[in-house]
Amino acid sequence: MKTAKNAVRKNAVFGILIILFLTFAFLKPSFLKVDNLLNLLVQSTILGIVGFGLAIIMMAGEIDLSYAGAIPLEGAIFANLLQKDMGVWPSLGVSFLAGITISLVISQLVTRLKLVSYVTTTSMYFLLQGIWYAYTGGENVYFKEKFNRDLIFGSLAGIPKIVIFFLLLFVILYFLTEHTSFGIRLRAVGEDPEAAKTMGVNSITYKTAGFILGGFIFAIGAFFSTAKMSGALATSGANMLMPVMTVAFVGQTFLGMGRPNIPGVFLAALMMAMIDNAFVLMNSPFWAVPIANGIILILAIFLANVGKRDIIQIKL
Amino acid sequence: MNGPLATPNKALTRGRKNNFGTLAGFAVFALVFMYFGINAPGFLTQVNIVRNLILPATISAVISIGMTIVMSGGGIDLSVASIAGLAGMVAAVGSAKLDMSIALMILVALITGALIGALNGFLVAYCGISPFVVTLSVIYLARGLQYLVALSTVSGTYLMLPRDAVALGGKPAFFISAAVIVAVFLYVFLDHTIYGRFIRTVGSNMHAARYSGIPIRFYTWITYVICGLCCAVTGIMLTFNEGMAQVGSGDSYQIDAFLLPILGNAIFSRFSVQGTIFSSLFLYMIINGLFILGTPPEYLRIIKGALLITIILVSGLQKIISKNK
Repeated sequence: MKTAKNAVRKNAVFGILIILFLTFAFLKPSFLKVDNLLNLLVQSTILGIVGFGLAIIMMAGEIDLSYAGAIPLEGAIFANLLQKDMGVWPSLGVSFLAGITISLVISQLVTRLKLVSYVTTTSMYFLLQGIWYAYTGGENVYFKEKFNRDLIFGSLAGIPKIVIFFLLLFVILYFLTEHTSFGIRLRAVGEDPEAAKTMGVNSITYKTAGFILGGFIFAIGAFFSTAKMSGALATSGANMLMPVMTVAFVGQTFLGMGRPNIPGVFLAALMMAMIDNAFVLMNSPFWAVPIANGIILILAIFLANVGKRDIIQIKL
Repeated sequence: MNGPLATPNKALTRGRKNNFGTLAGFAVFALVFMYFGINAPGFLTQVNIVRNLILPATISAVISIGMTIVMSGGGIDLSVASIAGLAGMVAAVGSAKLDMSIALMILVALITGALIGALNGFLVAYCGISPFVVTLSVIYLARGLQYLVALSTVSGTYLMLPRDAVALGGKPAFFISAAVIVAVFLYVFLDHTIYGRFIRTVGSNMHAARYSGIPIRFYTWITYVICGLCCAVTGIMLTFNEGMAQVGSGDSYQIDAFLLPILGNAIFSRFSVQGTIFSSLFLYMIINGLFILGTPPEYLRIIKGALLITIILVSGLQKIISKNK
């Protein structure tokens, strides 16, 4: 009985993904076209990448919601510098530097001053939103013909480069977090800082590293979302706040792990992109997407937690 | 109210004694109030205080009080804004389709809120799923239902309210009395009944609560139901205030509902209804005052963020100091 429940927990998400895939393929054969499947992967990339960043910070036992403010700001810096003919790589470097600085500030506030990361980073989100307004004057920054979209949206051997990058990042982060001593220490600090301290792992160092790695990945997400829209949009951050939290937290329950993990985020992003894609293909009314998302997510988390009875509490 | 838990418990009433954070909070509040009173023209007029300061503060206070109850029980509910929007929308559709009276509209909204809250609570308390995961998923469901309910009646994403509801929504007394009823009821519930104490016990030490024979699942579940009811009240207030129900109208209160209880916790050093109300008045006073002073909106956001970080920083320092004593 217990093993059966364990099996359900571990495989439920794969089952749901396969059932969804078959249903969509049955209802709409054009869903199966290679172009559409690649499109689906492209749709899932930005959500997945930012979700990876959040998952890594969650592994360190903290949370960072400031990405919703950081992503538009980094995008605006990148687009603005590109407008001023700085060249792609230098402007990208500056926007990454901005992202890492933000994460460094947050990590110091959280680790050294012992502030609660939920509140600190939400306040930081407001702060960055304000800085974004002050920097751009409240307008979207576009770059026209300054940026060669083929750099990331062009295809390599038939597969869009962004997808290759996404899969590469997935593999790298998976090995980094699950199979290196850095990843294990990061998770140890997140799960039990006291025990980690006893084992000689400095929680401040690892939490700071987690925040900075997360901030770096957010900056990658900012670059991709800016490139996708051909400019930095005001709404690019706020629109991402909830979906990214969803993939990071829902991904946590997938695969029966019950802790933040990279493959879970990957699958959650894939699931949400698949629902989005298929419902658009099927020409369904637009209220159907959120309802389907809600029902499928609730079903997935329910199955991924079958047999778990302990109430999980949030300590703020 | 007899029984072992009815006697004041030191851990639970810690915040009440020699707490200079509360004093400092009130002092800063008074200072800022005086500053705006002197420098911002028209700040002290009754119209401004009631319409621009207290009215938005009541709306965000009610939704945050619901969150306060959930947080005292050791949970979190990120779907509050979507529940509020859904409840308001259901009420509006009820009046448009079935010609419901205002009382019936409020009842329908409350039932909607309680049902979604019960779903949240069931998944958290009886299925053992993390409240973050549950409530994030429920956001999508509630949002989709908002569209569905709206589109079942009109071909748009908003719905006008009948004239008597709009007239009621023009009266600040309606909002203030609604907020006062919710606040007084839940203040007494949380701080002066055995049930509130059970909820706090579950929140502060779940295992101890289980061994004391408190049905922890039920008390976790009930916090989400109460939160859903509060969201429904907020939904009613929002739709009546705007004169129409709009998909996503509650969304701007999402961050408020998340921050205000925690701010109240920082100032009063525990989750409490009064702390939440205090911080909502505080926040809206600052927004209102700075707006009158002509601060551009971009700096308003910067100031809001910086101020929140400062308050949390001060309360963090307070904790460090009191630990060293």
